[in-house]
Amino acid sequence: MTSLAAVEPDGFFEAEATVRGFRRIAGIDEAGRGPLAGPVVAAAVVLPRQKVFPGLKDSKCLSPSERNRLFAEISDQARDVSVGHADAEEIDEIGIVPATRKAMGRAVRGLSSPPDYLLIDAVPLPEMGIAHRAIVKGDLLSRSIAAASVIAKVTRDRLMAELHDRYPQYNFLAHKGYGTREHLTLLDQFGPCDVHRRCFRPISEMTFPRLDTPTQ
Amino acid sequence: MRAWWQRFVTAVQSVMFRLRRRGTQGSAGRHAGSVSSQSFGQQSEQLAERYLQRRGYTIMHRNYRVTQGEIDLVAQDGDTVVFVEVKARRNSSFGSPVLAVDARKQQRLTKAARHYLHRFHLGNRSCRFDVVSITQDASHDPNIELIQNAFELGES
Repeated sequence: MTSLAAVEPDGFFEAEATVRGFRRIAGIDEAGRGPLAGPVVAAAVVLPRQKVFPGLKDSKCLSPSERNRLFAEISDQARDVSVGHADAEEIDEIGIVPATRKAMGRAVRGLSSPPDYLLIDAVPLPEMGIAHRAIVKGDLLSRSIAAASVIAKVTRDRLMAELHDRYPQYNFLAHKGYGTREHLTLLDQFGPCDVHRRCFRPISEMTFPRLDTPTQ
Repeated sequence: MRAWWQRFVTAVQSVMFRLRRRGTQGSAGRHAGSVSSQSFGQQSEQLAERYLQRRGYTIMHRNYRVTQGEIDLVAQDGDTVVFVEVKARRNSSFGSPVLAVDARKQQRLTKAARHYLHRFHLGNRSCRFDVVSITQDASHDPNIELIQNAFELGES
């Protein structure tokens, strides 16, 4: 069996949906599920049929400059692009997985006209009421999902760069909120800020070693 | 003409910081609505914080909670670490709120303070306990009083 790293995403699932009669197929992916800070961002992308984006792979395998280049190209050439998010406060309230699904729902609803078919990375979204297929490792296998993963990742990175200006002490510009050694050290030093996810360890252990919430 | 993603990024930030976010209670619940729906306690804590900043304190931490105790505000005054208890009352006729910091509360503050000093490697700094007392009679603006060094770091 070929290693998945060698696979490049193609239009197979899109073609399958087209054959079944669907006309507006949106690829959905998210970025920022793992970090300790910042929102989770989801993107929905409707690509033109048959259009190939040279060099498009899932966002994790791309260099930053390649990602930026593809971001510009996809934004320009796609039939439709939309992003949605759920911020740290929501993540603390409902949990990261429900928050991710909410972000995806918001991305879909932000499209200029509703898609009739969704290709989603790994997460079924039956509540949208739209025919869809959730594909594990979808960002490696489907062109539309790969495109959405690029849009989501780059958008989130740019957002974290802005948050860096507001909270420079954590150096969000470098690690985007992920739990790198640098971030953990700075988190220890300064304590968490408003955009840290308090339900994530290590933050939950720092400020609220017991998670019950005292009332005023 | 701003790029579409720039508009998204700006919109996300304005949503994040439009409400004064969860800095006060430490709960994970969303505070819907405007400042006026905040509890009296939350407003008092914000008022105390702003007052201390005007007095030259640097706020280091809000609502530091550990199992054995909690501290409303940790601040820095010059080189000293200050643990601040905020006491708010609606009616001044029951006496100054400072008197409400009883022995048990002092113990809890002391334990939390030790925890904080240890956690953030501040054991060699001098520290003290202040109380900010806020008295809100409905008829006038709240009175704010700061008592520095309200009590000594206890023997717990």
